[in-house]
Amino acid sequence: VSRLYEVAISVTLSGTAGPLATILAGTGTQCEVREVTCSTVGTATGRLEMEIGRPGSAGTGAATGTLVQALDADDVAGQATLVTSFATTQPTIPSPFMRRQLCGTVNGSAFTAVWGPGSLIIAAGAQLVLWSLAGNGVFDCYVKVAE
Amino acid sequence: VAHLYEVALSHTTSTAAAHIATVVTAAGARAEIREIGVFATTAAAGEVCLGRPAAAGTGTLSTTALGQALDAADAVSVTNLCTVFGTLQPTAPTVFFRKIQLPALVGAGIVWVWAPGELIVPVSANLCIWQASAVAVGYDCYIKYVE
Repeated sequence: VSRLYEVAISVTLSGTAGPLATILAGTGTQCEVREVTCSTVGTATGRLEMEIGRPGSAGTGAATGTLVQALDADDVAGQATLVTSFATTQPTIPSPFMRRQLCGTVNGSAFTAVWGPGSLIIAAGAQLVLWSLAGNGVFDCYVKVAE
Repeated sequence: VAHLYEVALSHTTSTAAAHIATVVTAAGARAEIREIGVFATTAAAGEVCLGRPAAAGTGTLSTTALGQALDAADAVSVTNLCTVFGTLQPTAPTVFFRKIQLPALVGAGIVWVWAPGELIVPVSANLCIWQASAVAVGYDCYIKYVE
């Protein structure tokens, strides 16, 4: 049985290329990504050009992030985490990217990326990185996943 | 048999983070959310979020609207969309499902949709459409749900 989860965060980026966030699948279960949405909060100094892909090298060390939340409160807790930082090394740039999308510098600029059931799979314990080319400002981000 | 309902209201927030409106289920029926639409009616930038409140609202539903059956022959809904509780307002969700920044434009908005069986509000529970930004914004909002 597949269960649905979502989680939202706000992230401040400094303009340096790197992960806005990373979806880290639980060690015991694969994670199926259904949606990624980002928006610009306030006026950004640099636009968020986001590339989505599997990292060249996965982030390592303890992960700091927020666990996905069950859409049905009766479901078991989710295992995937939307990670903002790894203690040892951050994920490296994906090559190639699966998607490139853009939030402008204007407040409220946004994009949504969606996938159907069974489309975008992160293997158990693996990562999918939401890579920012040069985002500089505050950005909201939420993801919807199935486990 | 599942029955479909919709309800809409207008609400202007204060200059503090708070719920815009809250889905309130009754003791006898859970609600399955299919769609939420939120649109700015004033030219102010709101950050709109969704989540289960840390603490539910309490007291009489002071300013509220009851769901309306899409099939006039269906039973009357017991789920409300409430903007003011008589005693305590719901508190901020600890983790949000979704966050999106809206630009400071009249008509800026978002429509969120979920498939059947995904987003469940248990019986006697709350689901908050939350404004994270501390700015007064007028909103039109509606929900579509199954009871």
